[in-house]
Amino acid sequence: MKMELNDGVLCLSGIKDLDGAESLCSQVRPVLPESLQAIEVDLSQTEILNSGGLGELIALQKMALRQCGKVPVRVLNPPPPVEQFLELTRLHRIFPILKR
Amino acid sequence: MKKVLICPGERPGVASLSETMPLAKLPVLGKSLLEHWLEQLAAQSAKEVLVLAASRVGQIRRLVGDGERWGLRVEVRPESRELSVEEARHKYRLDCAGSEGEAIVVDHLPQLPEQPMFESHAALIALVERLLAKQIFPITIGLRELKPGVWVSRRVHIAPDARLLGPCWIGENVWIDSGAIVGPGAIVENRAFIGRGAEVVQSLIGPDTFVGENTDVRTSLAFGGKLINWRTNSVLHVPDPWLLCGLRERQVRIEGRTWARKLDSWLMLGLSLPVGVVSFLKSKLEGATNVRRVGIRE
Repeated sequence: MKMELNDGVLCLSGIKDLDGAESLCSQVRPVLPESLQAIEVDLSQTEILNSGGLGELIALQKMALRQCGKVPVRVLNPPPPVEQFLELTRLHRIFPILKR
Repeated sequence: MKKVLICPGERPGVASLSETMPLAKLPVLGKSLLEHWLEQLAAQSAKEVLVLAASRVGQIRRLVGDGERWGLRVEVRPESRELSVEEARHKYRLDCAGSEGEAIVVDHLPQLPEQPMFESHAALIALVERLLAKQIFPITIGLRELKPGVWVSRRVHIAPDARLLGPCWIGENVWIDSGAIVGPGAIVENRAFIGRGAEVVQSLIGPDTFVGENTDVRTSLAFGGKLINWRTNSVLHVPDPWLLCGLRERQVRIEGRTWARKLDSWLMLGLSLPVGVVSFLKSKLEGATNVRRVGIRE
């Protein structure tokens, strides 16, 4: 997974499986800046999303809330099945979907 | 008069659906497409029907049986590929002089011959919505209009706080749980389960499909754990069964007791039984109880 910080926006990319061996939070926690504006999770390479992966996203949002205050977590370029899964679980209302 | 029904094979527009079931078995308002046709042919006084199936012949046979249900003589014949109407007419001698046979490809409803069903998922939904709008329903005992545009079959459980918004059609033995919203534009086929707080809008829920609590099924076809968005043709195999799954897919397999396991069980019984018996007899002879009371000290 790659992490980039651009103008207060933390971009996570290269994620194949959100529900992988290492949790998203443990990877992101050390690099979270205090002046975080938003977190964008690029799911363009994610093949499968399941409830475990959704749990990781929610945990990420909670961690960001604790450390940096109310910070939006956005999902970038999810493949159609991943987008369907987010809509099925209504989590597209919590994690706005952006397409760039 | 002989009728030949040709089951459709592959249709690229609905490839995801044909992976799930033979297209002739696709349910449309409580009955499969093939059953719609057999009903229609029975009403037209047909006596003999030949059903040609290029794949999953067993499923088609189990569906139609021998046709007794419709007062027909039905035979299901396997074919190596889907025949065209002309090929079927020639092969089964329907084009002979004096023959009054007819060959029909089962890719449309008998009530709507001008509307093919399998051009795309969107076309399929449009067809079903048209049936709803025009109230063209198959003969279904117990189907009633609960309120304008809301059709409900028999043995349906609808929680008092569930909302049904027309147009919508609910099949038999469907359970709609508390707080669920069904419709508008929802078709829920037989034996489906709509969980608490779920929403089904502009969608078709296939038979024996479980829609989990608080899920949102929109502009989709849901068959078991497969979710097809009919607008984008995107297909999702839902990994978590508590969100969406087939109620008949998971069959609990009880592992058969092999001879080795049986032998093992008998061996353990044989070894432990004498010990238990001796212990019991010994305690009896000694006048002691072989059951110790365990009490709680206060």
